[in-house]
Amino acid sequence: MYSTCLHCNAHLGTNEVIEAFPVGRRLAFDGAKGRLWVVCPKCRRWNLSPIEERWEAIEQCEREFRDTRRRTSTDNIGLAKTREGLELVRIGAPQRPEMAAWRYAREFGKRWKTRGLPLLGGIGTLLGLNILSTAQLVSSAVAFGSMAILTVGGVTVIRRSGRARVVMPDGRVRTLTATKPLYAGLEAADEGGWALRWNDGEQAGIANGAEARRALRGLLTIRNFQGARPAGIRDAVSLLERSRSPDQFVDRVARATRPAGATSVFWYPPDVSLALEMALHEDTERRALDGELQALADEWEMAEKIAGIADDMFIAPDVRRAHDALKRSAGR
Amino acid sequence: MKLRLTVDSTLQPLENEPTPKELEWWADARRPIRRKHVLQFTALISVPIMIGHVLERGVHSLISWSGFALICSQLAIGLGGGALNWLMQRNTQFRRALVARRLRQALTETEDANT
Repeated sequence: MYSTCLHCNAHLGTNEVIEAFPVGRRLAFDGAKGRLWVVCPKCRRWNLSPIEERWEAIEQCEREFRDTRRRTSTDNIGLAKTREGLELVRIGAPQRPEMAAWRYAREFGKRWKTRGLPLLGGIGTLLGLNILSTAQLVSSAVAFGSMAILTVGGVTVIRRSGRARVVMPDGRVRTLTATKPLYAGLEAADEGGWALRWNDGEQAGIANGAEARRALRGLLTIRNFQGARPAGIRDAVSLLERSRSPDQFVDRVARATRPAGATSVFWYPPDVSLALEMALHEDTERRALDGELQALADEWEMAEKIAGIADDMFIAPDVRRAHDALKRSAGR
Repeated sequence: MKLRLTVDSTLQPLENEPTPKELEWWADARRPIRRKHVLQFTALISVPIMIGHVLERGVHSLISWSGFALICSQLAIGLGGGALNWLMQRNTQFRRALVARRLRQALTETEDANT
């Protein structure tokens, strides 16, 4: 495999993530068509890899892409950054359902394990102490003392771990807890899109754009304080999947809230508020990488044309026909 | 049936009053929620005391007048407390269930409109 760019002769760099293909700091791959490119860090042109070195590398790239947390996708192109720093550009339909389920199962599952389960455990312990005290297996003083300590400790932990600093649309920073939330709800904006109507007891207003997104993210962290179990996450992901984009999902919720009477995010059902938090998270990542994804899509179109010509150059017509037939039968 | 929806101070009045169809739906939907409320209260308050009593004095202690009185009093406390808790929260429960139902319906409708 070459180690310098075919176009500008710059060094392509190395990686330790893809063992079968240790060249390049940014790899682009198309599993369906079997293409693998190394993107030059200097001129950003795409260098097609030799056909005999691709297959195993493409499989590894696909695995790494799936296992990487920091990634985002549009309709036909995805970008992921591995922990080692290697960037992977995946061509093809996004893996959204399994991607969202995988990604958020970790996040919300962790919240459930660290907050929801201990809460249930605490209630169970209180019941156990009550039973032991009634059975006179422990003295009432010990049982009620332990129960009091457990209750005070539990409430303190809940208040502390469920605390979020929210930057209000007017720029002030408010500390919110699960027991003392801020009342704010989505509504459809007059000029299209959505707005956040808020009231913190002292001031009230309507926010749009980045301020609204920032405040809503903080509020949803409190709303989804306990996380969710896998079934709840699946419900939320399926809700999100029924919209064309995360932004469109937030729009739909905003249009639906006022007629429904949901004046605060704390009134939204759990699946809707989980899906909203996911949508805002995806939307933030997409915005951060939007320009980059568009540029990648343009570069990929050009590179794909060249790759098509290069790959077909040495293939006999009957082999090509047999290959096409096999692909059709495999449903690609 | 006219339901008061503003008992809880955190609740603002609903912009759209519940329709007769929604009230009909709530008449069916509230039963399982009420049952859950009452059973949860009973399980949390009365059952531990009864289990503790059995652990201390044995199952046979229940087959007596004092055992019978204990079961009745604990069940009365549990079920009565649960029912009272339900009564105090029913407006909130109704509002929560109604909002969730309307929100899901509206989301389904916009989904149909999109597709």
